[in-house]
Amino acid sequence: MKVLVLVKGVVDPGPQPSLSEGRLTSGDVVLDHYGKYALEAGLQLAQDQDDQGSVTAASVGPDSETALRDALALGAQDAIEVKTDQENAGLADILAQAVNKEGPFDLVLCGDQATDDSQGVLPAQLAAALGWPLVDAVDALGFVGPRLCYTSLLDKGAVKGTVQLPAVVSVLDTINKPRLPSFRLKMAAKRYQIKEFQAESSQKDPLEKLEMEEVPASSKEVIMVDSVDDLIRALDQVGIRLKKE
Amino acid sequence: MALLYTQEQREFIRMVQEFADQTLTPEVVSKYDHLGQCPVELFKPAFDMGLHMLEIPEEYGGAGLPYSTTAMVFSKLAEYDAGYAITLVSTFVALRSVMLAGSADQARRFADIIEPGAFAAFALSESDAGTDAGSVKSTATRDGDDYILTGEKTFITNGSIANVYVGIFRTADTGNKGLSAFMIERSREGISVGAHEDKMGLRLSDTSTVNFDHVRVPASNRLGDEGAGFKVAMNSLNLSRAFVATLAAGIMQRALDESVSYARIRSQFKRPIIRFEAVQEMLADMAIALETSQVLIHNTMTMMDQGNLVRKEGAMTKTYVTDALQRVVTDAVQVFGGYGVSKAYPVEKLMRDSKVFQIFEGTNQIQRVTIANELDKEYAGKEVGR
Repeated sequence: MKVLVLVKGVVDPGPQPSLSEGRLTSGDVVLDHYGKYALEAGLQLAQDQDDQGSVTAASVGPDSETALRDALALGAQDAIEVKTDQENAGLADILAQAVNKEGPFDLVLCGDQATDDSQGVLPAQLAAALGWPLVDAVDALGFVGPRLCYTSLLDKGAVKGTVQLPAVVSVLDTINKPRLPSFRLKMAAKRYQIKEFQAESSQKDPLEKLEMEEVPASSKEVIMVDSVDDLIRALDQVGIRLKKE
Repeated sequence: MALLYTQEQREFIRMVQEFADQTLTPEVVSKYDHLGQCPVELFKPAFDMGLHMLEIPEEYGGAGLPYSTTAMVFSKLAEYDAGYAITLVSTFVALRSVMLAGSADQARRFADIIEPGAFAAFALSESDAGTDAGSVKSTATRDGDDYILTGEKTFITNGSIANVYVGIFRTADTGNKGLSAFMIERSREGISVGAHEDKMGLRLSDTSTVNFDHVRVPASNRLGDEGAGFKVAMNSLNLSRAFVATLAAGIMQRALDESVSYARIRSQFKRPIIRFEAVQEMLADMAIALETSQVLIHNTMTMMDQGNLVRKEGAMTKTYVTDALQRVVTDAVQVFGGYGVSKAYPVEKLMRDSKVFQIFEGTNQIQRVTIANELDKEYAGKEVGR
């Protein structure tokens, strides 16, 4: 089984980050928090296949190399840096090109969201671009025969199911406990020749199917207040009474 | 922070910090400190990460980091617990001493034992041979193609948990020149360990007596020539002295962190005590001691990376940093006032952990003798005058 894990480089949330020219920066880029869980899920699935499985990490964007080298240090066997001139628009289509041309892959794993933008839209967009089923908010993964069984934590509760591969699966940060990188692999990862995949420009606009509705700038539902006292009075008028200590 | 870390060094420090945050929680450290017990099972993740082989070349299964970077990693680890850190340091220093003194085959055999996840120990001290390392009485008697090792080694870090030892034994009655070094696998018949020392500090590290009762080892286990044991011991100590200074700097960093944080929130006379000049002086002196120590350690480690044996510099670094450590932890306890002597607060343990640093790897008194002797050699025949 060949697993592709999508990872992302983000600003290290550890030290106090600062804004520079509109970008969040702290000097260091690290592997995204959710990406670590996706990678760990992939490594565990590959190990469960009597070590016959393989895990490849892929990333796109300005900080992709750092994310990929971190993924290699954690145990990914291969890494692909997806090159593109486009930013955001058509990203799923660009990644789908890499999945199709660098594959075949049986499974694409990614985090349910990224820690920097928290959009969480890429898994669905990628599944649509590939024409594969999507399973999201996954808290547990394993195989039952050829089918991947999962538990998703949705608003209505935990949902268990199985999915035929290939599929796109996005995982929560409750699915496992990511391993720590070994220093030896970290050093080896620094020397690893990362593959480059040059994507063709995507003509697709990922937002084209969405109907945009103009939201009025102000609404009767919104009440502006000038002070805490006014806020308490406003809440009182709609039946919310704050208890005084 | 005095040192300007490279991005790579920051990455490695982040790795060990993440590891320590998960493994050496305050509750875990407090539990084993109270028990005075080495938490052997807590070293599995450290072995998996390769923390016991950081500066060992990759061909021997290590990560091949320079000494200077390795020092930064272990200083960070010592902020969590210096006893845990020294257990790993003692392991790779033993292997490094084999690499310095022995053949490639011996280094390979030694590395193969510890690389999958095992401890090593350097067995030099005896009841009457501590700082005076040349007074070793344990003997290695030649018997055909073997040596028979007999004697008792005391205060051996990792003594009861090691899978392999580097031991110094007497092969002739010719003083320092009558000592030889051997690698000794724990599985050999005749090795037994005595009681674990119930120490004041570094209570997560194992310190034990190791008895060698007619332990037979092949001559191929001898490191270097017969009679070269004292040199093996001294070269190993040069290395370990620089590394214990590194751990001392980690304790200092922790003491400063705790003290400044506490002084900012502890109020007396309606203001935080950090606003009082007497407290400010202590904190400033602590910070100066830490920064100068870090710079000195980094310089010595860089010299080691360049292949220097740092006989004088290792002694200077160990002496300066571990003496400074005593002042820093004493002031840390003072800043905490009555809470400073309570086990419920962190600085009490830091003070207990610190004292031995002036004693092991050669007392700071003998370090000064070494430094002075090196100066004597340096200045022999040198004309001084401007």
